[in-house]
Amino acid sequence: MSTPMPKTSFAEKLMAVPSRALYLVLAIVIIISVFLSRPLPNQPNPPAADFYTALMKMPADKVVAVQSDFTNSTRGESAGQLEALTRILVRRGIRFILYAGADPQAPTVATNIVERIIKEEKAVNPSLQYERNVHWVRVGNFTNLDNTARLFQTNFREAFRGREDNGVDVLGTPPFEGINTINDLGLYVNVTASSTLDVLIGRLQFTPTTYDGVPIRSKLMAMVTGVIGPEAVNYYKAQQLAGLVVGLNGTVELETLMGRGLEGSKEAASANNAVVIDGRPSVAKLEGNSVGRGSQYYFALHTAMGLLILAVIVGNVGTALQKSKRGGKR
Amino acid sequence: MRDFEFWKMAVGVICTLGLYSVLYRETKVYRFFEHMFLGLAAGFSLVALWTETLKSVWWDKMVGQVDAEGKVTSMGYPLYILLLPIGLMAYFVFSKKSNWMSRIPIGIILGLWAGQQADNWIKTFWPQIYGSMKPIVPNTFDPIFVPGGAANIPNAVYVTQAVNNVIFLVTLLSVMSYFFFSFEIKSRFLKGTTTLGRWLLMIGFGAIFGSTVMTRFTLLIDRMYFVFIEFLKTNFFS
Amino acid sequence: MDNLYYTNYSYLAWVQIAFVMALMATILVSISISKRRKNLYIRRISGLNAIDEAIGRATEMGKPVLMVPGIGGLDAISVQALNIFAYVTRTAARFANPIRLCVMDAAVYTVAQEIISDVYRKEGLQERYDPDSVRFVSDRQFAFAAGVSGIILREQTAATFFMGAFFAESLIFAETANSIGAIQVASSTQTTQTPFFIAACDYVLIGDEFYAASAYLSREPVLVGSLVGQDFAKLAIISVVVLGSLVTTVQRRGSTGTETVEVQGQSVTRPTFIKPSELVMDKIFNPRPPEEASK
Repeated sequence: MSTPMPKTSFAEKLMAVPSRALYLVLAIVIIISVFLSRPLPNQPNPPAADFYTALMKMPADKVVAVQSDFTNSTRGESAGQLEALTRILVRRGIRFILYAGADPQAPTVATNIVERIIKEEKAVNPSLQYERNVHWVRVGNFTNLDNTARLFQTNFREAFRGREDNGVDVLGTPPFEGINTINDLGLYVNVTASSTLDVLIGRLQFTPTTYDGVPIRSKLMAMVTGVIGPEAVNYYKAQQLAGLVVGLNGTVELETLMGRGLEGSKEAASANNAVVIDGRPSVAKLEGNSVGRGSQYYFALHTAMGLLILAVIVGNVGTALQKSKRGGKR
Repeated sequence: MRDFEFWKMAVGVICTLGLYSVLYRETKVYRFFEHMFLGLAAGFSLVALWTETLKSVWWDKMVGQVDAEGKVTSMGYPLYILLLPIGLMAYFVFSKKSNWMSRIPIGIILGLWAGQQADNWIKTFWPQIYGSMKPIVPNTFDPIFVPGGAANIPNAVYVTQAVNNVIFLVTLLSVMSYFFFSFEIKSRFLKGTTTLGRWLLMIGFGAIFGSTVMTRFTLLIDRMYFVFIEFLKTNFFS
Repeated sequence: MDNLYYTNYSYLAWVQIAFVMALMATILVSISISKRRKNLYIRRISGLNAIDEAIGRATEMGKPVLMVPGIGGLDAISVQALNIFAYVTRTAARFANPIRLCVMDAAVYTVAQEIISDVYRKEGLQERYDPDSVRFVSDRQFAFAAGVSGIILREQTAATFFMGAFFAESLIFAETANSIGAIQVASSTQTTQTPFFIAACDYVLIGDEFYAASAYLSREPVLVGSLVGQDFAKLAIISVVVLGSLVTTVQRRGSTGTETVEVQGQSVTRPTFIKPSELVMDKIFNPRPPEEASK
């Protein structure tokens, strides 16, 4: 293919770095970074702020549907998102219904995370009352989401008929009290790493409402991975989603909001160190520890991205040098 | 004596390292873990197929349910039995002579899917079309930038917002013009917009690339965190 | 009851239905025109030249052409990919160039075998058809990725075509083929994977160009007609967006008056502007009962 060069130039040496060496450097950098992990400053963006606002402004007696569609393949991003969501729900005492519409493995993955978070919350706050089948219920997986989501829209309750959690009929549990149509839900959160969000967008339609003066155009909200984030942003921009958390960055934003709260102006935030996004309603912070998986990984993500940028620069410099040596366009 | 949780994690760590060994070279170690991974996934799927799909969606609904006290909680629908032969038809794909039968369930699924598309299109794109109708002329020039706090007037269109909206519309229209196929692009204006559309698409793809790479890194960080913090540090150094 | 307001297409919601019906009618009419007039015009996209160039290069080198129709099941996407591959195979068959078509789905495998053997038969080159050229590799995503990468490396394919629904394995394929210097033409219907192909391939068909290429090469009336119909649909949407923006801009110009409000303990007099819910476009696009619309 390539013509033999008389002498290896610096550019060629740069370009010839074996991929194994790059893998090793990346692994070492990340391992060191997870040990040295430290909090980094973060300014939350409107999508995550809207997500947090909707969850915090929703009356605590409303029920949230959590459709968790990720498996362990995307644990790195999705688990942190579900953990943060669970913390908010548990600390506010909001009841929720947990199910999946994608993979049979998804309900188990989600249940393990939810149970662990509830255990952690109870360890910090022994008086906390939050029990399975009382405050939350696990329904399992729905196959063929295309048609199931349509059933959710026309008759939400019917979709859950005959489903059991630990031998208990789910429709008899408190989270299902008063839930007949999809509009009886407070919010509908989809935690996903695949295109299940597209299916829900195309089938679910909610009546607009307001929570504590905050208008909610659609009760659907999403927590997605960075891969499908760019597509999900369109839905958020068109107000088809009330809030959106994208990738690890979104998780960190949510954790920041949980830890500091939100204010609409600098003057209002000066007293309580809250996050400022101009013109936003004031939202209280969530008492308790808000550092989760997102904040723990954030430092390592920065060092890894730094390494990537360095590699891109080196690669481009190498290519440019090679081209100029050959003396021409490609 | 270590507890069950420790050994469970230890196996997870060994499997993680085994699978990452492919980055050095494809060895027997990697092959072993790869096959174990595939086998576990297949076995899990089989169990989950029954517990999460067949039993909950079909069997339980067909036979109905009775609670511990013998009270009927949900009536059975015996007609659900008719779904069984339709489902089984899919297996005729293995028969050379009657594999046409396997197309029946596929046809039913595709038909159900196709029938929903008009409504799906409305729900997905109607709000997006509306969301694209943005005002492109500001209605207030003081100040230029969107002010924060009390100075922010509700429903005003500030200069920077109008500029943003113009950029949005130009991007949308030029990218859409790039995807016209049924006529020759001869006019200089259309040539310009399609070229601009292509450039803007590339910028968008660059952003998607970055976002995806970030996800991939996060997945790696998660594995490293699992091995070095959750397992090693927690069990041996704390 | 309120659940029904938004789902039973009451009030101005008939506009939505009429619009979608009109779009569907346009596409159906285009298809029927295309069935009667065989020569409906489609622009030749530059990606098609890249396809010819890639096959030519493989022929020069006497090495196989590799094709992968994505990893999805038997659906419109994989069938359209196979349409393009039929064209590639026809050209390759004429120059007696070997081909390799790797699939991940059993149903796609059956269809692919039919299509490819049919190409050789129609060209009268049946003796050149190698049944082993269409291969079922694996139905597991990454096992398939590993298998195809192995074929690329062992057989040193000179040209590779990745077209269809690709996911996380896209970069593995593209990188492997790039490492042996193969000329690559690719296209993913998944927007999120297109950037990876752009980074590692020589030519990429972006988004709808994939469908255009398939229609152009196969001249199938349904494909050609729907492509032309979709152009009209795009034109309609562009017109609606432009019109809507202009109407919104006109409606939102200037202030509607002034108001004096209490903001953080201070009395402020400021202009008022029209509310989004009072806009004409909002009423059309967000249909709701009159009593709620006036809120």
